[in-house]
Amino acid sequence: MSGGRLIEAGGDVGSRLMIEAAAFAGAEQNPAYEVAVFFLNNVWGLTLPALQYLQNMKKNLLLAITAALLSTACFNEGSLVTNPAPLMQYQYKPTEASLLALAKNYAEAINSNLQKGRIHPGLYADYGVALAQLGCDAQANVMFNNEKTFFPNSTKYVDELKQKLLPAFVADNRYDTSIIDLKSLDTIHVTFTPEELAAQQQLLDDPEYQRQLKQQQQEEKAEKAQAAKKAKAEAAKAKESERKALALAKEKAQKDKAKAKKQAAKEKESAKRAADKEKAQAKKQAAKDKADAKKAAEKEKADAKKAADKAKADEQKAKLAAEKAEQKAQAEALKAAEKEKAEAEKAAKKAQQEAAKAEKAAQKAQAQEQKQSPITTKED
Amino acid sequence: MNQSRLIAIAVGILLMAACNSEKKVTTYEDLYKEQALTILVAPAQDNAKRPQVKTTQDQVLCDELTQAATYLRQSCITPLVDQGYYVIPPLSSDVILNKLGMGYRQLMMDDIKKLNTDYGIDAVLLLSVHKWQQFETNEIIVFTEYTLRSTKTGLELMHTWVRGVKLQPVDVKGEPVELAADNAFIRLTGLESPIAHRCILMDQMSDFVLRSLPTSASRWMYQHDRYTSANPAFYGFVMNPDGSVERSEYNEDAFGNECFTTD
Repeated sequence: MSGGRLIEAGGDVGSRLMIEAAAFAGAEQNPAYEVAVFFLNNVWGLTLPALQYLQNMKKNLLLAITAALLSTACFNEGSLVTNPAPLMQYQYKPTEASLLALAKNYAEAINSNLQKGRIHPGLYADYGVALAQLGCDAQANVMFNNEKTFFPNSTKYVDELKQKLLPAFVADNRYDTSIIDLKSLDTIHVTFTPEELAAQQQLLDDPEYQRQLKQQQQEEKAEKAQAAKKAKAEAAKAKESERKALALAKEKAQKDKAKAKKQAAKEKESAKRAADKEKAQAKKQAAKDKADAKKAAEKEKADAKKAADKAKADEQKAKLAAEKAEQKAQAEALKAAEKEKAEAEKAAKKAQQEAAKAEKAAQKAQAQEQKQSPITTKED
Repeated sequence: MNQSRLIAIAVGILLMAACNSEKKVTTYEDLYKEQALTILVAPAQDNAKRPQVKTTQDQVLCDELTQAATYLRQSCITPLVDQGYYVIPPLSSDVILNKLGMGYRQLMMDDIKKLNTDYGIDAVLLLSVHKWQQFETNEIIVFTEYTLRSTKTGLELMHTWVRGVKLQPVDVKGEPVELAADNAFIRLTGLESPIAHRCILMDQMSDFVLRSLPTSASRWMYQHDRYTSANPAFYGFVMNPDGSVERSEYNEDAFGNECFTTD
């Protein structure tokens, strides 16, 4: 049972996280919250559906209390093994007896891990070392190979360990990951140190110890019976609470369904009303738009007519102006032609006069010439 | 004048806050570069001073302290595994270190590349217990040091000093009251109550310290984890009777003064 950490590195207590983890659908898969889930499930008799239901109902108070209790009731058993004492004992005083106790502890831890389907890294390797040191070489070799099988990155150091502790098995790669038979460890004989033997003897000779041992055995037996009874009662209780929670959940689901249906109908009605309103508004708007458009068209038409009339008037005006201009031009042209004709006549008259004058002058000159001709003959 | 003082204090607080929220990517830069996966946890170095053995009680206390120091190593395994690292288990580690003839000093100072080349180990976690203190009957204090050293480059990938405190509730008479968790641990291990309390403190402290390490590169949250905040190098860790914990930052001098001065 490792994990179940309460304390986050950031310094906050993990109660909130544990509640969330415990109530979360995948909580059972989260090894870090194993303790919380286990506690809530088995001690409080709450299963995941019940937890989820409680969370939905926002009754986090119960969970908060649980987590608060857990924060004091859990501890990190933080080691390879379920019980850290044998390893501590062996490291404090390494003897064959303490090593055997440690080996048994490792074997139990491996079996427990196998049942959970999760192997702690290094567990097989250390069990292998313990067995090798106790002289069980073949079994140790299998354990070393198991470690390599589960954790390939351990190959290098495990091979070195095999080289050092089991040179005869270096090439032997047999492995076996089935449950370990704990009885096989009972056949291992260890030599006790004189202190251990003395302590054992002292204990055996002590009638008080014998009495205590007997009492302890009886107590253990009674405790076991009580625990079994309690477990049975708790299982029944858990079943009952689960049934209750399921019934409650079902009831709630039905209520929710009805509520949802009602809500849906209400929403539908409201949507319909809104749609109608929208439609009416759209119609009104369309009519308004149409009227506006008609008005605009009429206005446009009137404007166009007005413009056409104006254009026509302008055209008429222009035509008149053109006619007037033409008449004026014609008159001017006529006048100019008359003037030109008069001038031409005048010029022709003048030319006639000049021609008459010139003729007269020629006649005069001829007369003069005729007059002068006898003199000339005289001179000849 | 007063205003400028206030501004200076505000700037100081802001700077302190900025220091507090240093991200893992900065604090563990080398660890991110190396992407260590396999870690060997060396036996803890016990530097704590023992009382002079005059009575049986003194002897009991000495044994208690020794066992608790031994337990420190064990308490580091699961937090590291939970962070996604492969941890070489204790017995196997002892065989390897015995074969190489390496102790705390060699692992801390010497060239340890052989651990990488021959055994595939990426880093070594070195642990030290410097001092134990006990006030009244309900307050246990321990000063510890955690060093993660690379076997490839010899660099220190993490170095944290912690002052761990476990407070126990007391009844109206002032007698300590056992908590349910403590009782469960005592029943499970069969240890005496005083040693069990020390072990529980070790457990929670190691968990707190090592969970600040980046998750290994083999985990999917590796990238996301880079930008979460890291623990400071020197700090105090207090387990309150109600199960909550508190963390207070120390500076190096204050920690050194408390840790290395004799009472």
